[in-house]
Amino acid sequence: MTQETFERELSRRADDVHGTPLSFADVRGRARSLQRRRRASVAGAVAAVVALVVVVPSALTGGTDKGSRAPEPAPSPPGHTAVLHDGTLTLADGGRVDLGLDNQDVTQLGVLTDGRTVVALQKPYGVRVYSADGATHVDYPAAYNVITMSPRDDAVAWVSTDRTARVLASNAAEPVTLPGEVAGSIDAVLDAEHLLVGDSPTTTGELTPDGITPLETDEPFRVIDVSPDGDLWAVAFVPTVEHEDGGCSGLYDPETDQVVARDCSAYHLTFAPDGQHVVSGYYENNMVGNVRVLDLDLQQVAAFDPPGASAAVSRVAWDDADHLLVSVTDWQDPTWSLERVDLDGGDPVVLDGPAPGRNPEMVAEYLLSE
Amino acid sequence: MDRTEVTAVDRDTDFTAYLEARQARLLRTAYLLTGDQHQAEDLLQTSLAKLYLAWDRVRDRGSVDAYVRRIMVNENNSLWRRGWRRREVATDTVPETAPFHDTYDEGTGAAVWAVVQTLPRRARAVVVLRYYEQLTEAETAEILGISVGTVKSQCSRALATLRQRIGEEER
Repeated sequence: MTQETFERELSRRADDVHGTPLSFADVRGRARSLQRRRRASVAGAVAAVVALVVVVPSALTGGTDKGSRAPEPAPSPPGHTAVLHDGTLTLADGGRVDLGLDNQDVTQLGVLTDGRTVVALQKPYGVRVYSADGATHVDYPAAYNVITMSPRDDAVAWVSTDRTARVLASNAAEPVTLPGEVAGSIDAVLDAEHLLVGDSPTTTGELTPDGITPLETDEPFRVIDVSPDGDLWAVAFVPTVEHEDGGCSGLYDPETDQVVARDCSAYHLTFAPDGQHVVSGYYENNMVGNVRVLDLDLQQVAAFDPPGASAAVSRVAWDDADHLLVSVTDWQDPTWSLERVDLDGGDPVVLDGPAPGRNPEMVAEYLLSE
Repeated sequence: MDRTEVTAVDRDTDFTAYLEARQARLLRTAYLLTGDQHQAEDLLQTSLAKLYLAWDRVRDRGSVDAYVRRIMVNENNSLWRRGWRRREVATDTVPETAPFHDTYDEGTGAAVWAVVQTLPRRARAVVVLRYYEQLTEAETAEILGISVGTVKSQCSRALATLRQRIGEEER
């Protein structure tokens, strides 16, 4: 069986295809429709980028009087990161919302595209949803103080005390309850109606309004993150004897049911906003070690290691497709700073700090949104 | 008629000429990528619309065909992803209802088509571009944004799958 067989048979099959010819008017009509959609999305994106460039540096470097700032609620563009520090949430577009939270009470936070902030709290234990301006909030009981955001930040989910999954979509007033009990964790939110759930070590099924469908894969893994367009999942394989310290990580293509890349020195992979890179970091003792940026073959393209023997990374997230947002601390003499790291290897830009803070083993003075 | 209008007319005339000359061939490529005539027609119309919007940038580079093929592959992958989310088309088994089964070739045509239909989208694009469009490995790699090595391995895998399937049918 040769290449010629493919060539001959594909040609033969294709030769039988005859469609209605497209006229120039047909094509131009579709083009104009595309153009209208592009203009609408470009206008929104330009507004978001301008706001990011102009407002973020002054807001994060403390260039204005924090006490006199009125909250500036604004929807967060997907893929960017908000920062909770000193009770104030700085949104990706530079807007600031006073939440009055102490970071030691917060385990996770996310910002929905409608501007509402969702936090998982240690005290009071549960999930809290703040209005866009931070003025009001609603508390929801939760089995675990853990939230999972969708890749586009248009939905968030958590496990309620009755073990059902609650999903709050952007612009929806209240969370909806999906049927069936969640055995352990909500590993990913593909969208408001499609959740990947599991028993903690592994992702076992897809939960929708119709119930749970088992997830059948060749080998067990837990989904850690989903690329913005949903075509790749970052996964953590179950630790083995050879790789018991965190196991191996990989990228899984759900379309083909194939692991397309695997690396046993990569951990907790999180996709960049454009889906072209992942950041890897080993979470231990409330800090992150070995921060590396990898391509989709899981080959290293950049690494971040703060200078100083006792310097450490507290948290890391994507600021945009080309930059990381890194909270840097010193575990011997706790000082804190927030830095923006360019993947091209330029010197990090300090956005805030350094300033004294608490023990990084106990608290993250800069909490970065999911 | 001012200068701007003349330019627009020239552009539309050029594009129409390309459309008339190439759309039949491009529809066949779209069909091999999608496996469905309606999807192929929709894919082609969208791809040509995107080409029209970019016409001023690409028409002088002698690379219009490559450009539109890249659009088609990307658009097809994008459509597939949206389809996967809706769970409309997901399948990982070889369809048992191949469209036709010629007797003179002992089913080879149907076997080839069955293999192509079950290939992952990217691998399928490699096979279509290499074996139908007759592009070189380098040209295929450039259009798909992958390495030549990946093109080689995808083709090799497709051939191996075909051999295996033919072998199973003969047993």
